[in-house]
Amino acid sequence: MTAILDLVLGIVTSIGGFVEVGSISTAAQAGSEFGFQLIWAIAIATGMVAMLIEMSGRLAAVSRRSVAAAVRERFGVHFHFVPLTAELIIDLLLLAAEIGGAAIAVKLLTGIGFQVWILPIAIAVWLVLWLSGFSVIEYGLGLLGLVTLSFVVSAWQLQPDTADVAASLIPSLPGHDHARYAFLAVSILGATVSPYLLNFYSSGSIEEKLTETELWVNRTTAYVGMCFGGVVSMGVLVTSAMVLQPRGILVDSYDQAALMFVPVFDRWAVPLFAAALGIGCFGAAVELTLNAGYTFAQVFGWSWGANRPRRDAARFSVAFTFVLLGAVAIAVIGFDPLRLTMLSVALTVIVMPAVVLPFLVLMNDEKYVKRHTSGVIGNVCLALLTVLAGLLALVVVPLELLGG
Amino acid sequence: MDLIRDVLDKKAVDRNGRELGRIDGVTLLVRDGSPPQVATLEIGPAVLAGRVWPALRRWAEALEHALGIDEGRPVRLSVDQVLNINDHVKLNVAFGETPAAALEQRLRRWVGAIPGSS
Amino acid sequence: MALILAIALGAGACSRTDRQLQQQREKLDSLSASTAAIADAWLAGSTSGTFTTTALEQTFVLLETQRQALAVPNTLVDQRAARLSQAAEAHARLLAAMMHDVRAADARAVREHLSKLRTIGPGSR
Repeated sequence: MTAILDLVLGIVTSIGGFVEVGSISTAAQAGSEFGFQLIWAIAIATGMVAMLIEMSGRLAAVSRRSVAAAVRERFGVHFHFVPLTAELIIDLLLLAAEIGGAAIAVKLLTGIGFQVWILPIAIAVWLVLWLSGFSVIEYGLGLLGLVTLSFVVSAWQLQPDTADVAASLIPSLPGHDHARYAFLAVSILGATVSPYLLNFYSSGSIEEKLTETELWVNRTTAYVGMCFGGVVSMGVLVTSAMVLQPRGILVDSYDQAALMFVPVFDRWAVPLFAAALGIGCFGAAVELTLNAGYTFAQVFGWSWGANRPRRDAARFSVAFTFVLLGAVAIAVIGFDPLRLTMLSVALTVIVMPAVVLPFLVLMNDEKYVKRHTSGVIGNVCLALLTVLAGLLALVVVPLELLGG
Repeated sequence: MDLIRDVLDKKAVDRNGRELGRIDGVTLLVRDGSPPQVATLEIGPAVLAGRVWPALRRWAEALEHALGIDEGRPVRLSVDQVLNINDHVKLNVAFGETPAAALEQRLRRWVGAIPGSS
Repeated sequence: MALILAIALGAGACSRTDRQLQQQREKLDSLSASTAAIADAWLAGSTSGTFTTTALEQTFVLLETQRQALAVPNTLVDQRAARLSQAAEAHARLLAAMMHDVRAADARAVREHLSKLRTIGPGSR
C-alpha cells in the first residue's frame, strides 16, 4: 500500500514539477514559430530524461549514493571537476532564471516590475527549504504544480487536428529558417534534460529510503511520470501553435506567451498562466537550491539531508543559502529571464555529454548497481544518447549564433 | 587494495558513522629500496583543489586562512587509524576530535540561532 | 576572377542584409500582432487593465530594441530599412497612446488607435 502511494505521489510530482521556465519558454517559442513541427523534440527529450531519471533512482536505491557522489568516487576529481563546475554554474544561472520567471508571473498579476519580486520570492524559496522536510517540499510543490495541467486543458479545448499532432511526432524539415528550427530543437532537449534533475532525483531517492525491492516504483515513476510531464510540455507547444502562430506572434516575452490562454480561459487566462508559470518556476527554484546543497555536501562528504534539522547539517544548509544568494545577485541585475533561460539551456547542451557518459560506466559497474546493471537495450540506448549528446554539444554554439 | 579505486575520493566516516568528509589525498612515504607506503590520508578542500591544479591549492589555503578556519587543516589521519574499508573508509576517530569539526561547529552556532533550524 | 569574387561577396552581403531585414520585419510584424492581441483581449474583457498596461509596456520595450537595431546609418541607407524604421516609430507612438487609453479605461480611443495600427505600412499586418 505504501509503495502504491509512493508511486502515485511520485507520478503526480513528476507531472506537477515537469514544466518550468525553460520548458515553457522553449515550447512556447517553438509553437509560435513552427506550429506543431517540434513536438518530436519534446518526445525525444522526454524519453531521454525518463531513462536518465530511472538510472539515477536505480543507482541511488542500490548503491545508496547520489549521482554526484558516485561520479566523484568512480571517476575521481580530475574527471569530475570540469562537469561539476560547469553544472554548478549552469544551475546558478538557471536558478536565477527560475526566480526571474516566478517574479514575472507576479508581475503579470500586479503590474509591478519583476525586479521588485526577486528578493521576496528568493526569501520564500529559502523559507520553504529551511522549514520543510523533503516530502513536504517534493509532494507539496508537486501537487501545487498540477496547475500546469491547464496547458493540457487548453490544448485539448482548442481541438487541434490530432492527425497533424501525431504526424509531428516524426521529425520533419521546416518550411523556413532551418537554423532557428534546429536551435529550438536543441534548446528543447537542453531545457528538459537538466543535469540538476538527475542528482536531485537520486538524492531524493536516498532521502526517501528507496530500496532495491522498490525499483519497480522507481521505474514506473520515471517513465510514466515523465511521459505525463512531457504531455504538459506538449500542451504548451500546441496551445502556442493554435493561438499565437496564426496571429503571427513570436514569443519574445512572457506577456506575449500569456496571450495563449485567452481563447480558452477568457478572464482566467492571465491568472492561470501566471499561476502555472509562477508555481512551475518556484518549484524548480526550490529544487535547484536544494540540489546545490546536495551537490556540495555529497562532493565534499559533509552531512546532508532535507529531513535533518538544518543545524545538524550546517555546512549543507549554508551552502544552499549562499547559492541562493548568488542567484539573487544575478537576477536583481535585471537580466531578462527569457534570455537567461536560453543561455543556461544552451550551456546545458554543451555539458550534456559529460553528464550522460558516466552513466554508461556506472550502470554497468556491479560495485554500484549490483545485479541491476543495464541490459543490452539499456546500454545501446545509453550509447546512442551519449553520441547524440556529443553531436548536440558540437552544434549548439553555431546554432545559437545562427538561430538563437 | 587499489588505493585509487578503494580509498581516494571515498567518503570517510568516524567510528560512529558520522561523516568526516572525503579522502581528498593520500601521501606516500618513499624510501630507497622499499616499496612506497601510505603515510597519511588527507581530508580538506585545499588538498582536493591541489589535485586539480597546484595553484588552486594555494588559493584554497588562502581562503581558509582568510575565513579563520585553517587551523589543523588539512585533516591528516594515519593509516593505523583506518578501521575498515567497505562502502566508506571508517576511521578510529570521533568527528568532534578532528579539525574538520571546527567549521561545522562554528556554522552550527550561527545556523542554530536562526529560527526553524532545529 | 576578381570580378566574380567581388560579385559573389557582394551577393553574399546582399543576401545577409536581406535576411536581417526580413528578420526585423518579422519581429516588427510580431510586435504589431501582439499589440493587437493585447488590445483585443482587453476590449473583450478577457484581461485586466493592469495586465494590459504591463503587456503593452513590455511590447514597447521590445519595439524600442528593434528601433535601435534599425537606427544605424549604414542600415538606414537601405530604403526598406528606412520604411521599417518609420513604421516602428509610428507603432511606438500608437503604443504610448494606447497605454494612456487603457489607464483611462477609454475603450473607444483604444479601438481608434488599434485601427490605425492595422493600417501602418511595412512592419505591420
